[in-house]
Amino acid sequence: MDLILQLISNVLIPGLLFALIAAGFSLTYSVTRVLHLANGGVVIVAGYGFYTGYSLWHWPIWSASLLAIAIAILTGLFINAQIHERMREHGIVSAAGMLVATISVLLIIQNILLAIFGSAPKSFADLQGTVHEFGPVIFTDHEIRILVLIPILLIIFILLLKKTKTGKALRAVADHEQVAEVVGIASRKMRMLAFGISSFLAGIAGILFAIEYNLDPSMGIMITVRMIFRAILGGVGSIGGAILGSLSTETIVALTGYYWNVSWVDFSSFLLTFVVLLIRPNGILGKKKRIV
Amino acid sequence: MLTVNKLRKSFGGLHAVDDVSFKIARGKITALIGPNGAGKTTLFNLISGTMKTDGGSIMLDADDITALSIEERSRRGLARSFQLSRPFRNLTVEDHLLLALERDDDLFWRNIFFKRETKTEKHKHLREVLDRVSLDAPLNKPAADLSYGQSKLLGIAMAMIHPHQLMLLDEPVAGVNPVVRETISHVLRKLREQGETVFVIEHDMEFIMPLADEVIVLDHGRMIAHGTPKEIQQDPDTLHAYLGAQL
Repeated sequence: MDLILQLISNVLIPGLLFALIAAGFSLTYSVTRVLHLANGGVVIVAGYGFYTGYSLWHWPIWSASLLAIAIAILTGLFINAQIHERMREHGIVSAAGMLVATISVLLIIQNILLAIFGSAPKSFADLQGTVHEFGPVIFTDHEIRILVLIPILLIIFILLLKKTKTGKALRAVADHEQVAEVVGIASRKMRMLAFGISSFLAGIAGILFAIEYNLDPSMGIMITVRMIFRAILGGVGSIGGAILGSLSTETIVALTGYYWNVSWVDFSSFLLTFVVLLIRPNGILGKKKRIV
Repeated sequence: MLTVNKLRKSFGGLHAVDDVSFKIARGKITALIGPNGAGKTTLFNLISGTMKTDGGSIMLDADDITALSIEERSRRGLARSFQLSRPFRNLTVEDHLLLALERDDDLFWRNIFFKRETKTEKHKHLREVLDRVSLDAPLNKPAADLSYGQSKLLGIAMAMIHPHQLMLLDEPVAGVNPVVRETISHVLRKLREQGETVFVIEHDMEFIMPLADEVIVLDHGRMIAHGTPKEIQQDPDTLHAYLGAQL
Protein backbone atom coordinates (compact mmCIF):
# COMPACT_ATOMS: atom_id res chain seq x y z
CA MET A 1 0.00 0.00 0.00
CA ASP A 2 2.81 2.38 0.91
CA LEU A 3 4.44 1.65 -2.42
CA ILE A 4 1.23 2.45 -4.31
CA LEU A 5 0.83 5.74 -2.45
CA GLN A 6 4.43 6.69 -3.19
CA LEU A 7 3.98 5.84 -6.85
CA ILE A 8 0.78 7.88 -6.99
CA SER A 9 2.59 10.86 -5.55
CA ASN A 10 5.33 10.45 -8.18
CA VAL A 11 2.70 10.27 -10.92
CA LEU A 12 0.50 13.18 -9.90
CA ILE A 13 2.99 16.06 -9.97
CA PRO A 14 4.47 15.60 -13.46
CA GLY A 15 1.18 14.10 -14.67
CA LEU A 16 -0.82 17.19 -13.73
CA LEU A 17 1.83 19.58 -15.09
CA PHE A 18 1.84 17.82 -18.46
CA ALA A 19 -1.95 17.49 -18.40
CA LEU A 20 -2.18 21.30 -18.24
CA ILE A 21 0.30 21.77 -21.09
CA ALA A 22 -1.17 19.00 -23.25
CA ALA A 23 -4.76 20.23 -22.66
CA GLY A 24 -3.85 23.61 -24.16
CA PHE A 25 -2.02 21.90 -27.00
CA SER A 26 -5.10 19.78 -27.74
CA LEU A 27 -7.36 22.85 -27.74
CA THR A 28 -5.20 24.70 -30.28
CA TYR A 29 -5.00 21.60 -32.45
CA SER A 30 -8.76 21.11 -32.40
CA VAL A 31 -9.63 24.68 -33.23
CA THR A 32 -6.78 25.64 -35.57
CA ARG A 33 -5.60 22.25 -36.94
CA VAL A 34 -2.07 23.41 -36.09
CA LEU A 35 0.21 21.06 -34.14
CA HIS A 36 1.40 23.89 -31.89
CA LEU A 37 4.79 22.40 -31.00
CA ALA A 38 6.00 25.85 -29.96
CA ASN A 39 3.72 25.45 -26.93
CA GLY A 40 6.70 23.90 -25.12
CA GLY A 41 8.57 27.10 -25.95
CA VAL A 42 5.74 29.18 -24.48
CA VAL A 43 6.07 27.13 -21.26
CA ILE A 44 9.75 28.02 -20.84
CA VAL A 45 9.17 31.62 -21.92
CA ALA A 46 6.78 31.84 -18.97
CA GLY A 47 9.39 30.19 -16.75
CA TYR A 48 11.99 32.79 -17.74
CA GLY A 49 9.44 35.56 -17.39
CA PHE A 50 8.90 34.40 -13.83
CA TYR A 51 12.68 34.17 -13.28
CA THR A 52 13.08 37.74 -14.54
CA GLY A 53 10.36 39.13 -12.29
CA TYR A 54 11.14 37.09 -9.19
CA SER A 55 14.91 36.52 -9.23
CA LEU A 56 16.27 39.44 -11.28
CA TRP A 57 13.84 42.23 -10.41
CA HIS A 58 12.94 40.87 -6.96
CA TRP A 59 9.23 41.28 -7.48
CA PRO A 60 6.78 39.51 -5.16
CA ILE A 61 5.82 36.02 -6.33
CA TRP A 62 2.33 37.08 -7.48
CA SER A 63 3.61 40.01 -9.54
CA ALA A 64 6.27 37.80 -11.12
CA SER A 65 3.61 35.18 -11.86
CA LEU A 66 1.36 37.76 -13.55
CA LEU A 67 4.33 38.96 -15.60
CA ALA A 68 5.12 35.37 -16.66
CA ILE A 69 1.50 34.63 -17.64
CA ALA A 70 1.20 37.91 -19.56
CA ILE A 71 4.42 37.16 -21.47
CA ALA A 72 3.20 33.62 -22.23
CA ILE A 73 -0.15 34.88 -23.58
CA LEU A 74 1.50 37.59 -25.68
CA THR A 75 3.98 35.03 -27.06
CA GLY A 76 1.18 32.63 -28.00
CA LEU A 77 -0.91 35.38 -29.58
CA PHE A 78 2.13 36.67 -31.46
CA ILE A 79 2.89 33.19 -32.83
CA ASN A 80 -0.71 32.80 -33.96
CA ALA A 81 -1.08 36.25 -35.51
CA GLN A 82 2.33 36.60 -37.12
CA ILE A 83 2.91 33.03 -38.26
CA HIS A 84 -0.18 30.86 -38.46
CA GLU A 85 -2.70 33.52 -39.50
CA ARG A 86 -0.22 34.96 -42.01
CA MET A 87 0.35 31.51 -43.48
CA ARG A 88 -3.42 31.03 -43.74
CA GLU A 89 -3.78 34.41 -45.46
CA HIS A 90 -1.19 33.33 -48.00
CA GLY A 91 -2.97 30.04 -48.49
CA ILE A 92 -0.23 27.97 -46.83
CA VAL A 93 -2.32 25.67 -44.72
CA SER A 94 -0.56 22.37 -45.33
CA ALA A 95 0.16 20.34 -42.22
CA ALA A 96 3.83 20.08 -43.23
CA GLY A 97 4.19 23.84 -43.70
CA MET A 98 2.59 24.59 -40.35
CA LEU A 99 4.71 21.91 -38.68
CA VAL A 100 7.97 23.32 -40.00
CA ALA A 101 6.89 26.81 -38.91
CA THR A 102 6.01 25.75 -35.39
CA ILE A 103 9.24 23.73 -34.92
CA SER A 104 11.21 26.75 -36.16
CA VAL A 105 9.47 28.97 -33.61
CA LEU A 106 10.30 26.52 -30.84
CA LEU A 107 14.00 26.53 -31.80
CA ILE A 108 14.06 30.32 -32.16
CA ILE A 109 12.55 30.74 -28.69
CA GLN A 110 15.07 28.32 -27.22
CA ASN A 111 18.01 30.11 -28.82
CA ILE A 112 16.81 33.56 -27.82
CA LEU A 113 16.47 32.41 -24.21
CA LEU A 114 19.93 30.84 -24.39
CA ALA A 115 21.41 34.09 -25.71
CA ILE A 116 19.72 36.23 -23.05
CA PHE A 117 19.92 34.03 -19.95
CA GLY A 118 22.75 31.58 -20.73
CA SER A 119 22.66 27.82 -20.34
CA ALA A 120 23.09 27.62 -16.57
CA PRO A 121 20.01 26.19 -14.84
CA LYS A 122 17.93 28.62 -12.78
CA SER A 123 16.73 27.33 -9.45
CA PHE A 124 13.80 28.42 -7.29
CA ALA A 125 14.58 26.17 -4.32
CA ASP A 126 13.36 28.83 -1.88
CA LEU A 127 9.88 28.60 -3.39
CA GLN A 128 9.47 24.89 -2.90
CA GLY A 129 8.61 25.45 0.76
CA THR A 130 8.63 23.02 3.60
CA VAL A 131 8.24 19.28 3.28
CA HIS A 132 5.07 17.62 4.55
CA GLU A 133 4.84 13.93 5.30
CA PHE A 134 1.50 12.19 4.79
CA GLY A 135 2.39 8.68 5.94
CA PRO A 136 4.65 7.26 3.25
CA VAL A 137 3.98 10.18 0.89
CA ILE A 138 6.02 13.36 0.91
CA PHE A 139 4.90 16.63 -0.66
CA THR A 140 6.49 20.08 -0.58
CA ASP A 141 4.37 23.23 -0.25
CA HIS A 142 4.85 23.82 -3.97
CA GLU A 143 3.68 20.33 -4.86
CA ILE A 144 0.55 20.85 -2.79
CA ARG A 145 -0.02 24.05 -4.79
CA ILE A 146 0.24 21.95 -7.97
CA LEU A 147 -2.14 19.31 -6.61
CA VAL A 148 -4.76 21.94 -5.77
CA LEU A 149 -4.33 24.50 -8.54
CA ILE A 150 -4.10 22.32 -11.65
CA PRO A 151 -7.25 20.22 -11.07
CA ILE A 152 -9.18 23.45 -10.39
CA LEU A 153 -7.83 25.01 -13.60
CA LEU A 154 -8.63 21.91 -15.64
CA ILE A 155 -12.18 21.77 -14.27
CA ILE A 156 -12.71 25.48 -15.05
CA PHE A 157 -11.24 24.92 -18.52
CA ILE A 158 -13.56 21.98 -19.27
CA LEU A 159 -16.59 23.87 -17.88
CA LEU A 160 -15.67 26.85 -20.07
CA LEU A 161 -15.71 24.61 -23.13
CA LYS A 162 -18.83 22.68 -22.16
CA LYS A 163 -21.08 25.28 -20.60
CA THR A 164 -20.33 28.71 -22.02
CA LYS A 165 -21.41 30.02 -25.39
CA THR A 166 -17.81 30.89 -26.20
CA GLY A 167 -16.78 27.33 -25.38
CA LYS A 168 -19.52 25.99 -27.64
CA ALA A 169 -18.41 28.33 -30.41
CA LEU A 170 -14.85 27.01 -29.98
CA ARG A 171 -16.16 23.46 -30.26
CA ALA A 172 -18.23 24.37 -33.31
CA VAL A 173 -15.14 25.81 -35.05
CA ALA A 174 -13.17 22.71 -34.00
CA ASP A 175 -15.83 20.48 -35.54
CA HIS A 176 -16.38 22.34 -38.79
CA GLU A 177 -14.89 25.76 -39.34
CA GLN A 178 -16.83 26.75 -42.45
CA VAL A 179 -20.21 25.71 -41.10
CA ALA A 180 -19.43 27.64 -37.91
CA GLU A 181 -18.57 30.73 -39.96
CA VAL A 182 -21.83 30.41 -41.88
CA VAL A 183 -23.77 30.74 -38.62
CA GLY A 184 -21.76 33.87 -37.86
CA ILE A 185 -19.02 32.57 -35.57
CA ALA A 186 -15.80 34.51 -36.12
CA SER A 187 -13.40 31.60 -36.57
CA ARG A 188 -10.35 33.89 -36.64
CA LYS A 189 -11.33 35.24 -33.24
CA MET A 190 -11.85 31.69 -31.99
CA ARG A 191 -8.40 30.65 -33.23
CA MET A 192 -6.90 33.63 -31.41
CA LEU A 193 -8.84 32.69 -28.29
CA ALA A 194 -7.62 29.08 -28.50
CA PHE A 195 -4.02 30.28 -28.63
CA GLY A 196 -4.70 32.73 -25.80
CA ILE A 197 -6.19 30.05 -23.54
CA SER A 198 -3.50 27.47 -24.30
CA SER A 199 -0.79 30.07 -23.67
CA PHE A 200 -2.44 31.03 -20.38
CA LEU A 201 -2.33 27.37 -19.33
CA ALA A 202 1.23 27.04 -20.63
CA GLY A 203 2.14 30.18 -18.64
CA ILE A 204 0.88 28.74 -15.37
CA ALA A 205 2.49 25.39 -16.15
CA GLY A 206 5.76 27.19 -16.93
CA ILE A 207 5.89 28.85 -13.51
CA LEU A 208 4.96 25.67 -11.65
CA PHE A 209 7.37 23.61 -13.78
CA ALA A 210 10.28 25.99 -13.24
CA ILE A 211 9.85 25.97 -9.46
CA GLU A 212 9.51 22.16 -9.37
CA TYR A 213 12.27 21.17 -11.80
CA ASN A 214 14.46 24.28 -12.25
CA LEU A 215 14.81 25.98 -15.61
CA ASP A 216 17.13 25.90 -18.60
CA PRO A 217 16.52 26.80 -22.26
CA SER A 218 16.89 23.23 -23.57
CA MET A 219 13.79 22.22 -21.62
CA GLY A 220 11.58 23.60 -24.39
CA ILE A 221 12.22 20.67 -26.72
CA MET A 222 11.97 18.12 -23.90
CA ILE A 223 8.61 19.55 -22.79
CA THR A 224 7.35 19.65 -26.39
CA VAL A 225 8.29 16.03 -27.11
CA ARG A 226 6.70 14.79 -23.90
CA MET A 227 3.63 17.00 -24.40
CA ILE A 228 2.95 15.68 -27.88
CA PHE A 229 3.45 12.03 -26.89
CA ARG A 230 1.07 12.42 -23.96
CA ALA A 231 -1.51 14.26 -26.08
CA ILE A 232 -1.30 11.66 -28.86
CA LEU A 233 -1.55 8.81 -26.37
CA GLY A 234 -4.75 10.27 -24.88
CA GLY A 235 -6.11 11.28 -28.29
CA VAL A 236 -4.90 14.52 -29.80
CA GLY A 237 -7.69 17.06 -29.80
CA SER A 238 -9.30 15.65 -26.66
CA ILE A 239 -8.85 17.53 -23.37
CA GLY A 240 -9.85 14.46 -21.36
CA GLY A 241 -7.41 12.48 -23.48
CA ALA A 242 -4.62 14.95 -22.71
CA ILE A 243 -5.22 14.50 -18.98
CA LEU A 244 -5.50 10.72 -19.24
CA GLY A 245 -2.47 10.49 -21.56
CA SER A 246 -0.35 12.51 -19.15
CA LEU A 247 -1.35 10.56 -16.06
CA SER A 248 -1.03 7.14 -17.70
CA THR A 249 2.39 8.00 -19.15
CA GLU A 250 3.63 9.19 -15.77
CA THR A 251 2.32 5.96 -14.25
CA ILE A 252 4.43 3.92 -16.68
CA VAL A 253 7.39 6.24 -16.02
CA ALA A 254 7.06 5.77 -12.26
CA LEU A 255 6.69 1.99 -12.53
CA THR A 256 9.67 1.75 -14.89
CA GLY A 257 11.81 3.86 -12.57
CA TYR A 258 10.85 1.76 -9.55
CA TYR A 259 10.96 -1.74 -10.98
CA TRP A 260 13.57 -1.34 -13.72
CA ASN A 261 15.81 1.64 -14.27
CA VAL A 262 15.24 5.39 -14.49
CA SER A 263 17.30 5.61 -17.66
CA TRP A 264 14.59 3.57 -19.42
CA VAL A 265 11.63 5.77 -18.49
CA ASP A 266 11.49 7.60 -21.84
CA PHE A 267 11.74 4.29 -23.68
CA SER A 268 8.84 2.81 -21.73
CA SER A 269 6.64 5.90 -22.14
CA PHE A 270 7.23 6.04 -25.90
CA LEU A 271 6.67 2.27 -26.11
CA LEU A 272 3.35 2.72 -24.30
CA THR A 273 2.28 5.35 -26.85
CA PHE A 274 3.37 3.11 -29.70
CA VAL A 275 1.46 0.08 -28.40
CA VAL A 276 -1.70 2.09 -27.66
CA LEU A 277 -1.64 3.64 -31.13
CA LEU A 278 -1.40 0.17 -32.68
CA ILE A 279 -4.62 -0.77 -30.90
CA ARG A 280 -6.36 2.64 -30.97
CA PRO A 281 -4.92 4.77 -33.78
CA ASN A 282 -6.75 7.88 -32.52
CA GLY A 283 -5.42 7.47 -28.95
CA ILE A 284 -7.25 6.37 -25.80
CA LEU A 285 -10.10 8.89 -25.96
CA GLY A 286 -9.41 10.21 -29.42
CA LYS A 287 -12.18 10.72 -31.88
CA LYS A 288 -11.92 12.77 -34.98
CA LYS A 289 -12.19 16.48 -34.13
CA ARG A 290 -13.37 15.99 -30.57
CA ILE A 291 -12.43 18.44 -27.80
CA VAL A 292 -14.24 17.26 -24.67
CA MET B 1 -31.95 42.33 -52.70
CA LEU B 2 -29.12 40.10 -54.00
CA THR B 3 -27.37 41.13 -57.18
CA VAL B 4 -24.85 38.79 -58.74
CA ASN B 5 -22.86 40.39 -61.55
CA LYS B 6 -20.56 38.54 -64.00
CA LEU B 7 -19.55 36.02 -61.35
CA ARG B 8 -16.77 33.60 -62.33
CA LYS B 9 -15.08 30.61 -60.73
CA SER B 10 -12.81 28.07 -62.41
CA PHE B 11 -11.08 24.92 -61.19
CA GLY B 12 -8.15 24.44 -63.53
CA GLY B 13 -9.70 24.44 -66.99
CA LEU B 14 -13.23 23.79 -65.73
CA HIS B 15 -15.49 26.85 -65.63
CA ALA B 16 -17.72 25.95 -62.69
CA VAL B 17 -19.41 29.36 -62.71
CA ASP B 18 -19.04 31.29 -65.92
CA ASP B 19 -20.06 34.93 -66.16
CA VAL B 20 -23.30 34.50 -64.22
CA SER B 21 -25.49 37.55 -63.52
CA PHE B 22 -28.93 37.75 -61.94
CA LYS B 23 -30.98 39.55 -59.31
CA ILE B 24 -33.04 38.05 -56.54
CA ALA B 25 -36.10 39.99 -55.51
CA ARG B 26 -37.05 40.57 -51.90
CA GLY B 27 -39.90 38.48 -50.49
CA LYS B 28 -39.75 35.78 -53.12
CA ILE B 29 -38.62 32.19 -53.37
CA THR B 30 -36.06 31.83 -56.14
CA ALA B 31 -35.02 28.35 -57.18
CA LEU B 32 -31.65 27.47 -58.67
CA ILE B 33 -31.82 24.37 -60.82
CA GLY B 34 -29.55 22.56 -63.23
CA PRO B 35 -28.13 19.12 -63.91
CA ASN B 36 -25.38 17.58 -61.79
CA GLY B 37 -22.14 19.50 -62.19
CA ALA B 38 -23.94 22.61 -63.44
CA GLY B 39 -22.22 24.73 -60.76
CA LYS B 40 -25.17 25.29 -58.43
CA THR B 41 -23.40 24.51 -55.16
CA THR B 42 -20.29 26.39 -56.34
CA LEU B 43 -22.50 29.42 -56.96
CA PHE B 44 -23.96 29.08 -53.45
CA ASN B 45 -20.44 28.76 -52.04
CA LEU B 46 -19.39 31.94 -53.83
CA ILE B 47 -22.43 33.82 -52.50
CA SER B 48 -22.00 32.60 -48.92
CA GLY B 49 -18.22 33.15 -49.09
CA THR B 50 -17.06 29.57 -48.55
CA MET B 51 -15.23 29.93 -51.90
CA LYS B 52 -13.43 32.96 -53.30
CA THR B 53 -14.54 34.32 -56.64
CA ASP B 54 -12.24 34.61 -59.66
CA GLY B 55 -14.16 37.64 -60.85
CA GLY B 56 -17.45 39.51 -60.72
CA SER B 57 -19.33 40.97 -57.79
CA ILE B 58 -22.01 40.10 -55.26
CA MET B 59 -24.17 42.87 -53.82
CA LEU B 60 -26.49 42.48 -50.86
CA ASP B 61 -28.80 45.48 -51.21
CA ALA B 62 -26.35 48.36 -51.70
CA ASP B 63 -23.38 46.62 -50.05
CA ASP B 64 -20.67 44.90 -52.07
CA ILE B 65 -20.02 41.70 -50.11
CA THR B 66 -17.70 40.05 -52.68
CA ALA B 67 -14.55 40.46 -50.57
CA LEU B 68 -16.15 39.87 -47.17
CA SER B 69 -15.40 36.83 -45.02
CA ILE B 70 -18.00 34.11 -44.47
CA GLU B 71 -18.85 35.27 -40.98
CA GLU B 72 -19.11 38.91 -42.05
CA ARG B 73 -21.58 37.94 -44.79
CA SER B 74 -23.45 35.93 -42.20
CA ARG B 75 -23.57 38.99 -39.95
CA ARG B 76 -24.82 41.11 -42.84
CA GLY B 77 -27.81 38.80 -43.12
CA LEU B 78 -26.96 35.72 -45.17
CA ALA B 79 -28.25 32.53 -43.60
CA ARG B 80 -27.46 29.17 -45.14
CA SER B 81 -28.27 25.50 -44.82
CA PHE B 82 -26.07 22.82 -46.36
CA GLN B 83 -26.85 20.05 -48.84
CA LEU B 84 -25.24 17.50 -46.55
CA SER B 85 -26.63 18.12 -43.13
CA ARG B 86 -23.67 18.41 -40.76
CA PRO B 87 -24.57 19.26 -37.17
CA PHE B 88 -21.72 20.00 -34.79
CA ARG B 89 -20.74 16.94 -32.82
CA ASN B 90 -21.10 17.08 -29.04
CA LEU B 91 -23.46 20.06 -29.21
CA THR B 92 -27.16 19.81 -28.43
CA VAL B 93 -30.10 21.02 -30.50
CA GLU B 94 -30.33 24.02 -28.15
CA ASP B 95 -26.63 24.82 -28.59
CA HIS B 96 -27.05 24.83 -32.36
CA LEU B 97 -29.98 27.21 -32.26
CA LEU B 98 -28.29 29.54 -29.78
CA LEU B 99 -25.10 29.68 -31.83
CA ALA B 100 -27.18 30.61 -34.87
CA LEU B 101 -29.32 33.10 -32.93
CA GLU B 102 -26.84 35.09 -30.90
CA ARG B 103 -23.86 37.11 -31.95
CA ASP B 104 -20.87 37.05 -29.64
CA ASP B 105 -20.25 40.74 -30.20
CA ASP B 106 -23.60 41.97 -28.96
CA LEU B 107 -24.01 39.24 -26.38
CA PHE B 108 -21.30 40.68 -24.14
CA TRP B 109 -22.75 44.19 -24.09
CA ARG B 110 -26.34 42.99 -23.95
CA ASN B 111 -25.54 40.96 -20.85
CA ILE B 112 -24.17 44.06 -19.16
CA PHE B 113 -26.72 46.68 -20.15
CA PHE B 114 -29.93 44.83 -20.89
CA LYS B 115 -32.01 42.28 -19.15
CA ARG B 116 -31.41 38.88 -20.62
CA GLU B 117 -34.18 36.58 -21.62
CA THR B 118 -34.88 34.13 -18.85
CA LYS B 119 -34.09 30.52 -19.58
CA THR B 120 -37.81 29.77 -19.87
CA GLU B 121 -38.34 32.62 -22.36
CA LYS B 122 -35.34 31.52 -24.37
CA HIS B 123 -36.48 27.91 -24.43
CA LYS B 124 -39.96 29.03 -25.48
CA HIS B 125 -38.46 30.98 -28.37
CA LEU B 126 -36.30 28.05 -29.48
CA ARG B 127 -39.23 25.65 -29.15
CA GLU B 128 -41.35 27.92 -31.38
CA VAL B 129 -38.73 27.76 -34.12
CA LEU B 130 -38.51 23.98 -33.84
CA ASP B 131 -42.33 23.80 -34.01
CA ARG B 132 -42.27 25.90 -37.19
CA VAL B 133 -40.12 23.22 -38.85
CA SER B 134 -42.01 20.41 -37.07
CA LEU B 135 -38.83 19.15 -35.41
CA ASP B 136 -40.05 17.22 -32.42
CA ALA B 137 -36.78 16.74 -30.57
CA PRO B 138 -35.83 17.70 -27.01
CA LEU B 139 -33.67 20.80 -26.83
CA ASN B 140 -31.06 18.93 -24.84
CA LYS B 141 -30.75 16.13 -27.37
CA PRO B 142 -27.26 15.81 -28.90
CA ALA B 143 -27.59 16.87 -32.54
CA ALA B 144 -25.45 13.90 -33.55
CA ASP B 145 -28.31 11.64 -32.42
CA LEU B 146 -30.83 13.22 -34.82
CA SER B 147 -31.91 11.29 -37.89
CA TYR B 148 -30.82 12.61 -41.28
CA GLY B 149 -34.22 14.20 -41.91
CA GLN B 150 -34.27 15.76 -38.45
CA SER B 151 -30.79 17.21 -38.92
CA LYS B 152 -31.97 18.71 -42.22
CA LEU B 153 -34.84 20.34 -40.33
CA LEU B 154 -32.39 21.57 -37.69
CA GLY B 155 -30.27 23.13 -40.46
CA ILE B 156 -33.32 24.98 -41.77
CA ALA B 157 -34.31 26.02 -38.23
CA MET B 158 -30.80 27.43 -37.73
CA ALA B 159 -31.05 29.42 -40.95
CA MET B 160 -34.48 30.69 -39.86
CA ILE B 161 -33.44 31.71 -36.35
CA HIS B 162 -30.23 33.37 -37.55
CA PRO B 163 -30.85 37.12 -37.98
CA HIS B 164 -31.04 37.33 -41.76
CA GLN B 165 -32.25 39.08 -44.86
CA LEU B 166 -31.75 36.21 -47.26
CA MET B 167 -31.87 32.45 -46.70
CA LEU B 168 -29.80 30.16 -48.89
CA LEU B 169 -31.07 26.59 -48.77
CA ASP B 170 -28.96 23.94 -50.49
CA GLU B 171 -31.14 21.00 -51.59
CA PRO B 172 -33.35 20.98 -48.51
CA VAL B 173 -35.24 17.81 -49.47
CA ALA B 174 -32.34 15.77 -50.84
CA GLY B 175 -32.35 12.33 -49.23
CA VAL B 176 -35.28 12.93 -46.88
CA ASN B 177 -38.39 10.79 -46.56
CA PRO B 178 -41.80 11.93 -47.94
CA VAL B 179 -43.01 13.12 -44.53
CA VAL B 180 -40.02 15.43 -44.03
CA ARG B 181 -40.32 16.50 -47.68
CA GLU B 182 -43.90 17.58 -47.07
CA THR B 183 -42.89 19.34 -43.85
CA ILE B 184 -40.17 21.32 -45.66
CA SER B 185 -42.64 22.19 -48.43
CA HIS B 186 -45.00 23.54 -45.75
CA VAL B 187 -42.14 25.49 -44.11
CA LEU B 188 -41.21 27.13 -47.43
CA ARG B 189 -44.83 28.13 -48.09
CA LYS B 190 -44.99 29.69 -44.63
CA LEU B 191 -41.72 31.54 -45.23
CA ARG B 192 -43.12 32.97 -48.46
CA GLU B 193 -46.29 34.08 -46.68
CA GLN B 194 -44.13 35.82 -44.10
CA GLY B 195 -42.30 37.74 -46.82
CA GLU B 196 -38.97 35.97 -46.40
CA THR B 197 -36.49 36.00 -49.26
CA VAL B 198 -35.31 32.47 -50.02
CA PHE B 199 -32.80 31.27 -52.62
CA VAL B 200 -32.94 27.51 -52.88
CA ILE B 201 -31.05 24.89 -54.88
CA GLU B 202 -33.26 21.92 -55.62
CA HIS B 203 -33.10 18.88 -57.85
CA ASP B 204 -36.62 17.74 -57.14
CA MET B 205 -38.69 19.54 -59.80
CA GLU B 206 -42.05 18.32 -58.52
CA PHE B 207 -41.14 19.79 -55.16
CA ILE B 208 -39.74 23.14 -56.19
CA MET B 209 -41.79 24.23 -59.21
CA PRO B 210 -45.06 24.81 -57.30
CA LEU B 211 -43.17 26.69 -54.56
CA ALA B 212 -40.84 28.94 -56.53
CA ASP B 213 -41.72 32.44 -57.70
CA GLU B 214 -38.72 32.54 -60.00
CA VAL B 215 -36.34 29.93 -61.36
CA ILE B 216 -32.73 30.30 -62.48
CA VAL B 217 -31.26 27.53 -64.63
CA LEU B 218 -27.53 26.79 -64.73
CA ASP B 219 -25.84 24.47 -67.19
CA HIS B 220 -22.08 23.94 -67.40
CA GLY B 221 -21.57 26.97 -65.18
CA ARG B 222 -23.58 29.34 -67.39
CA MET B 223 -27.01 30.76 -66.68
CA ILE B 224 -29.22 29.61 -69.53
CA ALA B 225 -32.62 30.78 -68.30
CA HIS B 226 -34.28 32.97 -65.67
CA GLY B 227 -38.03 33.33 -65.31
CA THR B 228 -41.18 32.11 -63.69
CA PRO B 229 -41.64 28.34 -63.30
CA LYS B 230 -44.12 28.43 -66.19
CA GLU B 231 -41.64 30.21 -68.45
CA ILE B 232 -38.87 27.82 -67.48
CA GLN B 233 -41.06 24.80 -68.16
CA GLN B 234 -41.47 26.06 -71.73
CA ASP B 235 -37.92 27.26 -72.25
CA PRO B 236 -36.35 25.22 -75.07
CA ASP B 237 -32.76 25.64 -73.81
CA THR B 238 -33.74 24.37 -70.38
CA LEU B 239 -35.69 21.47 -71.80
CA HIS B 240 -32.79 20.57 -74.01
CA ALA B 241 -30.07 20.96 -71.43
CA TYR B 242 -31.64 19.51 -68.38
CA LEU B 243 -35.27 18.94 -67.81
CA GLY B 244 -36.27 16.94 -70.84
CA ALA B 245 -39.37 14.89 -70.33
CA GLN B 246 -39.58 15.68 -66.61
CA LEU B 247 -41.65 18.73 -67.32
